[in-house]
Amino acid sequence: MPTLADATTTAHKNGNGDTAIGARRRNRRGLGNFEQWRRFAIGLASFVVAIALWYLATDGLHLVEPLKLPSPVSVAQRLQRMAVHPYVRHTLWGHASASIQVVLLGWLAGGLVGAPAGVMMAWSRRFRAVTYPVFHILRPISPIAWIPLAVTWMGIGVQARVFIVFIAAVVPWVVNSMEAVRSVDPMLVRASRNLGTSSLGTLWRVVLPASLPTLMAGARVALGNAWTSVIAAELLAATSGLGFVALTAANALDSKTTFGAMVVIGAIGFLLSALMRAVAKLLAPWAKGL
Amino acid sequence: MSTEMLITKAGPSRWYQLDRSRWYDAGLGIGSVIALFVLWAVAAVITNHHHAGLVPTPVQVAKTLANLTTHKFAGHTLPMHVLSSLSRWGLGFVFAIVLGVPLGILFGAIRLVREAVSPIFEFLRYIPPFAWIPPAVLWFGSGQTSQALIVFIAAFPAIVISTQVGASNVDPALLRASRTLGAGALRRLGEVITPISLPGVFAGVRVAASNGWMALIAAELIGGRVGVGFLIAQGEDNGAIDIVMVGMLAIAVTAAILDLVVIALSKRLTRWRKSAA
Repeated sequence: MPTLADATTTAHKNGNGDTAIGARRRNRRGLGNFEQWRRFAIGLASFVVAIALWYLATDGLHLVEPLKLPSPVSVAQRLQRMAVHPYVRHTLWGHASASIQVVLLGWLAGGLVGAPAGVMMAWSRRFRAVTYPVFHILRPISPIAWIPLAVTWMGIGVQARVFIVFIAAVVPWVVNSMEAVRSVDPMLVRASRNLGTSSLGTLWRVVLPASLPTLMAGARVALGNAWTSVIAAELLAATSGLGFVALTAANALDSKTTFGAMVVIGAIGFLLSALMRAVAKLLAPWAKGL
Repeated sequence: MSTEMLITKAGPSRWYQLDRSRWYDAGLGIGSVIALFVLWAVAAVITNHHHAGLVPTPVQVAKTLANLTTHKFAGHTLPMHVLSSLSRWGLGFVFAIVLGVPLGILFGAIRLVREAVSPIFEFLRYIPPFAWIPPAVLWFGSGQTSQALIVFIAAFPAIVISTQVGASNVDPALLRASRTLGAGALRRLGEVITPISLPGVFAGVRVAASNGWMALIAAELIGGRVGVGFLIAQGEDNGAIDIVMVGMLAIAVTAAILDLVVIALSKRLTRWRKSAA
């Protein structure tokens, strides 16, 4: 289940973008302070220019009709209003927190199942022999294709959406946890075993700390996937949430609300990713370039 | 415990290898797959007591699959639905490559352009492709055009970014050398930049192919008149779970075939890599 956020760097690992090793390579350290500021300034400037162009195309010169592309000002105003006045039963915060809750539940469930499964698949050959073929058969079925089945089985309540997010998140959890344990230097494992640590003790005290950075990167990929799939699930099976807002508004030709919802979707996606990076730094400060 | 493979063998390649007991392992794998199908069948039999058809048996799904290859459902046979989806996928995908690759090379080649545009791209990437379905509905309704547009939007960023990464991997010394040896800008692009960035481009193409396919399915689920996603949606509306499952199977198999095609193409076009290595 690929995510755009990690598309490029993980792609060479496996085409589905589930592997996180590449993602860790992205932010190299060692850039000078000046260089960082320069980039930040250029990036900020380009954002300002982009929004200015958007404004010119709409309110400024009226090149595009507001139904196709509302102006940034009207979108901001709509968001401001939605923050206080409910849109289809909930305010903007209500819809956003509905989406986030589903994402977190599905992502956590995916981690609780996927991370131990992935670690065990790498650690125990027998476990891998039993589980990997089943995993491999089910994995190509994309989370999106599960949506109709989930709706039939569970209705359009929260369960169906959590299930979809779970399916989307569990794959990168498993793949990266497996990859994380596999990438641990075998010499460390042999040394630990030689010094008399038991198999489980080695797993706990040597392998897990050594693989934590990759595990964390996998958690981030999983969260990105979760965020992507919750939007899809909300388009089809929801009565609240940002994806639901965007589609409902589009069907009512209310473009301001649609674009407002999209801006918020992008912002939350960005925040979730930044949050995961911060957590990874906190939990595995020894990892470089996370 | 099976830690012996960690302890007795060095080198990461050994982790993947099966040796003496490979037949035993293969047996375990086959056994667990059989167990999966048995569990499915048992679940089908149990649920059929209370809700008939909620979980069809594997046999029912196989029968429906065979039936749908010749009989029409939701207007077309299964192969026609798949081909129809593929045509829209192809349209959006080709556009994404035709526009994305040159743009990626531009980003990779000119540093200022890259630094100015990539933050915006970074932000746009945080908007999932599915989130573009509502505006696409606003722009083009829920017809074929908006579905091809969704494929394009889902595929485009991965192609641009991987091309950019590939192109910026080109060693400037090589460019200077080829220039000194008299190669013009076009020749440098064709004979230096393109071959070096090709593997990176293909990595992006692979992700883009799968992203585009998934986004298309979502778009077809939401609105449309033909396609595998539409087939599934119709099956769901009619309470025909066997048809939904056949559709899921068709989606997964098509995705796997698309992936294999991209891999084969990439191997073919970057054959020189192995001989060089």
